[in-house]
Amino acid sequence: MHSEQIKAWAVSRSIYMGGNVLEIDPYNRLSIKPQILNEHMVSFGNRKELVFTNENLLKLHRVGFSLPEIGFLMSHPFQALKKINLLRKIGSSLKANVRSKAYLRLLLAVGLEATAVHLNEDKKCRSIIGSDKGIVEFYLDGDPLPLASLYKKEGSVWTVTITALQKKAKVRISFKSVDVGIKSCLGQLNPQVCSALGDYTIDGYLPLMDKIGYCARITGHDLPILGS
Amino acid sequence: MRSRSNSDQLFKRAASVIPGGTYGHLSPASSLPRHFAHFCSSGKGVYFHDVDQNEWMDFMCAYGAVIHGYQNPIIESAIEKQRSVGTVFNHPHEVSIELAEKLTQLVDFASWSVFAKNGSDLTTWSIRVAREHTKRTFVVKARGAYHGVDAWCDPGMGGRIESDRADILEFEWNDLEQLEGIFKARKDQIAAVILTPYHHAAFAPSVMPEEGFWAGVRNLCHKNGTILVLDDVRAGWRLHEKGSHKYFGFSPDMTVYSKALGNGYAISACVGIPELKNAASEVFLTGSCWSDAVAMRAALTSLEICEKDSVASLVLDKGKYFCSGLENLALEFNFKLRMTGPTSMPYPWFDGDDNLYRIQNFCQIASKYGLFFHPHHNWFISNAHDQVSLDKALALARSSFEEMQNEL
Repeated sequence: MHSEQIKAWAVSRSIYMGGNVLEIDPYNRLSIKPQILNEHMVSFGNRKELVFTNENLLKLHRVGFSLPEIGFLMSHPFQALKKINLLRKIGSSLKANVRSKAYLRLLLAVGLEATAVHLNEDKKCRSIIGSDKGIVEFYLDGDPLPLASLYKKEGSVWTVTITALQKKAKVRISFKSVDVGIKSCLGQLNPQVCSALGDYTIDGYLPLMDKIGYCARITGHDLPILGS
Repeated sequence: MRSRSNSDQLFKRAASVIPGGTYGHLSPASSLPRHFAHFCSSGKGVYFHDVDQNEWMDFMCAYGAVIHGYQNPIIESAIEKQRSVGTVFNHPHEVSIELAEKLTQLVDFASWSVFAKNGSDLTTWSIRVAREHTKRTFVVKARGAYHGVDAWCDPGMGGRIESDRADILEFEWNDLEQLEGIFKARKDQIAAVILTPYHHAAFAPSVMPEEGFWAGVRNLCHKNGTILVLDDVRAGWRLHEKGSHKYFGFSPDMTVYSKALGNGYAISACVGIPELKNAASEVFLTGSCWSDAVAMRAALTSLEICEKDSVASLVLDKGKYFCSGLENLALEFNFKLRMTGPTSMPYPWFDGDDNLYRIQNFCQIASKYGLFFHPHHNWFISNAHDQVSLDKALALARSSFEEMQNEL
């Protein structure tokens, strides 16, 4: 994938992940599962009613609005409008800017999804992560279950889940508070400083977290202020 | 948990004016940030104090930079004399010649020596000397090996461009076949092979050279006209009084030393064979305070003590006592702990603990007892460790194992 395509793919995957976190019903959620149509366009769902160029997807991320491809939209305008509404719902949830655990989980999962795309597709991130694999779990301090996990199995790609995995994590990060978690997702905290002062704790195989953290910052640079 | 309010306050102050608060291997993020102190206030012998007046028994020795203990009186007295006449001048001080003479006398293959401040200064310079001598481009290193902070080898991720490592080739430690393959693929193009005496990567158990490894490397370099550089920055003077190559029985073409060389005073040295002396004089080398007579006096005195007291043998023996004691204690509590690497700088590894939770837990508990055991880096034994301190450490380690077992 070329750079613009990676970013656009990350945006569309993140939107879809947002739908997962918001527990949009499975039928509607699947209807916006992104598909790469070609190197310039992404479709939300199989039926190609809602198709964006990469450029317009990036505009959508940047300004919150952009035009889908009209030709595709006109084929099933009603279905397309339903999907646009879903996208708007996800978008406004991301911009809600509330200090809640649900909001933290949304930001985290969406950010991790964009990072996963970079880990899988971006040349620099791929070279940094190399052959590393395993589970990285993100917790809110005191919670028994993770908010979200990023993982890679042998022979697979980096994937995000909001369901607890059964296997032991290679590394665990735990946010001291919702506020710390949200600021961290928005790239407003220095990881070295926060870790030193106990705003979050990291246990397990630190080099994996270092690499993922660095790639997450590359992602944040490519697609800034996701959700803010 | 021990008190840490001053540590945290200082760290907040630091973070406002220093990127990340503290950087590099001293960054709290790379160890146990909520269990270790962020700042030290003083050290003597095998103990140091943090800024919250907690006393720690040290098993990191300033990450290897201290071999005779903090504030060794002989070294401190020698440098006080030097300091009283000055440290950096317009010209080098005579002590630079004395130190070069000492190193070339100690290190059997060496006929010359140069000085800088850090290991990185001279690992990078040494490969340039090899390139100058051979008129070749490529450098081979072991995968995962640390040779310093420069872009061709640093373990970080930032500030790097693709070309930084375009001429660096890697092979798996101990895999002579792979190394031979690299030599075949890059015939007459490899300037240097740079290796540490044994493989001491962070976050992983140390790996000693297999039987025949060093002879094989030496032979391949010789056959291909490639310079063999030994990065003895971390291990130097803890394995053998005359350099770690003697411990493993081979002869490099250049060796870089630092860390223990100055017992805490910033100095590094590169020594080399006569054939490289001309190339060494062609590759520019300087630094603002690299002619620091105080650090050179510290190094000279440190080397004299190392030689007179056979310090490398002593720290290996002390380490052996400590490592076997610790392994046996672990077994008593049904933990399988292996102290990997040489006993003077052992890396602790619990079998099956690939994700490092157990070692982190053990070091966290040990920190409550004032033991500075690092979970991700090899430890260091200094000559200030004695029977009393090692026995005390083992007794505290027993309590730590007991507590860890109770937590299960």
